[in-house]
Amino acid sequence: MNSLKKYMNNKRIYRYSYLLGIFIILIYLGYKVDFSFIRLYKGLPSMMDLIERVLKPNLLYSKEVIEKLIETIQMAIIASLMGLVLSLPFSLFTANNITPNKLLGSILNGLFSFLRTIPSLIWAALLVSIFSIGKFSGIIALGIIGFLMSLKLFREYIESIKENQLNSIRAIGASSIQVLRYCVLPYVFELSVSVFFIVLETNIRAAAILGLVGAGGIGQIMWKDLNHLRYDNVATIILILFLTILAIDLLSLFIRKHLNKKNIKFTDIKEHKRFQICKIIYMPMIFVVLLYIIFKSLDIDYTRLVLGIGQGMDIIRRMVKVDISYFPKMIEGIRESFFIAIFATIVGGAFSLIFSYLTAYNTSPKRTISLIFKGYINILRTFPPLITAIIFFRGVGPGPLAGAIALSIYTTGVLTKMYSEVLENTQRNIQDSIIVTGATRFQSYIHGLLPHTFPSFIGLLLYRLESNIRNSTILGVIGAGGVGTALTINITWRNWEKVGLLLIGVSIMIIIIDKLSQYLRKVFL
Amino acid sequence: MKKMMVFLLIVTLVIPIIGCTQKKEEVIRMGFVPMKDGDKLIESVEPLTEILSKELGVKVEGFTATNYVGVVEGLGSGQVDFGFIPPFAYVLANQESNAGVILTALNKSGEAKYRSQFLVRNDSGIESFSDVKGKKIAFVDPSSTSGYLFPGAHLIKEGIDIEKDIEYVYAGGHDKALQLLLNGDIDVATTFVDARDRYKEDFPDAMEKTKILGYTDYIPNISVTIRGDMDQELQEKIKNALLNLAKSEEGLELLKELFNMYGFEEATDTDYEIIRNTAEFMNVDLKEGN
Repeated sequence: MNSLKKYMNNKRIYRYSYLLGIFIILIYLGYKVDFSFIRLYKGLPSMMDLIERVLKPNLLYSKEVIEKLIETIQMAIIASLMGLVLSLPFSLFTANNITPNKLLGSILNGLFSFLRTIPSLIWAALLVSIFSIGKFSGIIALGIIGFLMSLKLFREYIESIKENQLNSIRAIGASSIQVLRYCVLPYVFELSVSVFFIVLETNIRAAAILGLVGAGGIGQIMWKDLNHLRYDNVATIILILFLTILAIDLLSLFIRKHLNKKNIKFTDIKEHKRFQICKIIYMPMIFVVLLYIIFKSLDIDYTRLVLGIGQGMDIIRRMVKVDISYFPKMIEGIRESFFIAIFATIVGGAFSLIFSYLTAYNTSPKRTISLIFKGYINILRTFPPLITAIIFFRGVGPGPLAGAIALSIYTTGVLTKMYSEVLENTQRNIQDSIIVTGATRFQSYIHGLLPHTFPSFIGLLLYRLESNIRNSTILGVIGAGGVGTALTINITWRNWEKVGLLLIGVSIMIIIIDKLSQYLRKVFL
Repeated sequence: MKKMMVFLLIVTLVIPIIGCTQKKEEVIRMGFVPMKDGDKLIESVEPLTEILSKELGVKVEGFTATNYVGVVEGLGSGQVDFGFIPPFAYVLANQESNAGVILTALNKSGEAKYRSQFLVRNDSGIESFSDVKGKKIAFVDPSSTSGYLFPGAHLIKEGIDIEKDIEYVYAGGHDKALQLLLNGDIDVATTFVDARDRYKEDFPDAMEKTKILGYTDYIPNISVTIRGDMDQELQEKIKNALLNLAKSEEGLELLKELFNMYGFEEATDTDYEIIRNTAEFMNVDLKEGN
């Protein structure tokens, strides 16, 4: 009896000290990102004023917006296609199980994971300096992101092909090309549509903000309206963007869901053969047409390209000669980005625990509450944090606080969506076994579902941390704190030696956090 | 449930304390956008703020923004107490948060005004504004007075519809507009007079390769703007501190180096009426804000 009490007591103490620990960290971080309720409270009227203006969108403006929106969607689609097409051959080189040369594979993998740490907005800002302003730079920047993303996805898919599957084909005497042709490629092509849509979802969000650095698309007019403080116009743009992103997400979800179910049924072997021949003829044709469309839409002449590449090489050469004297400034910026990311992860995590309870239909007190929250968190997670930061700019002024709050909101949205899905997929009997003792739904959540799914929550939280670290490095582009400010200023003024140092610093930080998070996931799960 | 309540209680109790402790120290924040002169990028204004701190008796801190809207929003939210912003940004700040102008900067020749120019390449075949139709133009930034507002208004006066007759881009800087022009990405660049001279180290061939198509009207110089709710006493103090700064040799040197300013002159809102009129002309609807 005594020992149970002791055990319970110890456990409680343990839990409280745990919470207290997190809390102290949060307070410290809050201090670091200039958190202050007074400022937030003081900013409320101007934020309300902004929201009031946002609620009166200037619909007359929508014609101009739609025009740019189409350009934005075009950019995202072309870039995703370009990335996808280019990544196919590379994925064959980098996938561990089929690469012709293991060393080459790992060198390429290292290079690509370094490049993957650079956010699309920074790519765009760099490319704008090389190929001048306009959508060409934007397409290339998104193309790079699309390439790196689909490469990673393809590589992981290919590596998940079981060794015995490959061996069974090798056993009948197939050469490595035949293995590729009959085992790997069919698998990869099947996945490519789904990969395309995953990449497109990311790219459409990125494309919306590329204009902030002059890389074309809807961000360009948003930049103008922000500069003129025309928040009613900004509201129109945000509204239209929201609907578009939502539509593309839904479309992508729908297609990815139904893609796997569809299968062509053949009645006899002749038909199948005919289909195979058609496939051989049409597949390369589609490929060529795609390439043609991509190149046509790039709209750049050869001499300009050569000039740009020359200037690009120059820039890279100067970037490699990193300016070490800038080191203290870099650390300062990176530290701020890091604090913003951690703050957002903890705050977002805390909120999403509460929100998930209300959102998941098996824990939510009422079905309607669940539906309302589902809609609500979808709004929260649709906006790129960079855009939300603009709204907080208004209330709390430029600086890390605006960025930290914006990122917290985004984290709350994404994490709630993911975690509430985890809750919904948990076996019913866990919840039932607690409800049967007379507990309420809330108690069943706190004492049953939450402890049961806590490891997956930590896993999701760590994934969010990785994403937040990336996002916090670009918040500075609009002046919302972190290393992005130094990065933008130095890109604008062409101090490539400093840009080089900053990029390496950012990369190292991201890679360290990624590895740490991987390690922690292994420990926790 | 109880734990949750305790947790929330602690949150609500502790965070305001952090908020309060921060407010204790009184500082005056000076907002600015880093500028580049030649090879040097100015990110640290510490020597200048140190002199101002001594002058005012209150600690002055620099607030670096990536663009002028950052300073304007900073003035609106109380993050920035005074800032160096171009005339158009002042007009926006004034109408958004009732920010006031106290001084205007003087340029090299001691004048409180400047103007901008339209540059074309010598071989472009553009001889007059009527040739500009159908061409590609680089403005500097939508918040720029000399790189967007005035040149844009000038083009409209010349009978050019900037949304329909021309294609335009924002270069992101006067030097960048010049660079785009020299690279052949655009046909006409708008910069202040004379950006080719200011950036001659970066673009030594700019003078020979380009010529001036025309000038805009005169524009009041960069302003020293204070936030709207500042009391009269502090306003006067800041004004005098800056005027004294410009009188001292060391201060003037810093101003020249950091912001390309050669002194200050008192200014009032009416000096900036021309900006408002031009903005209206350019269809930048300022009234919408209130």
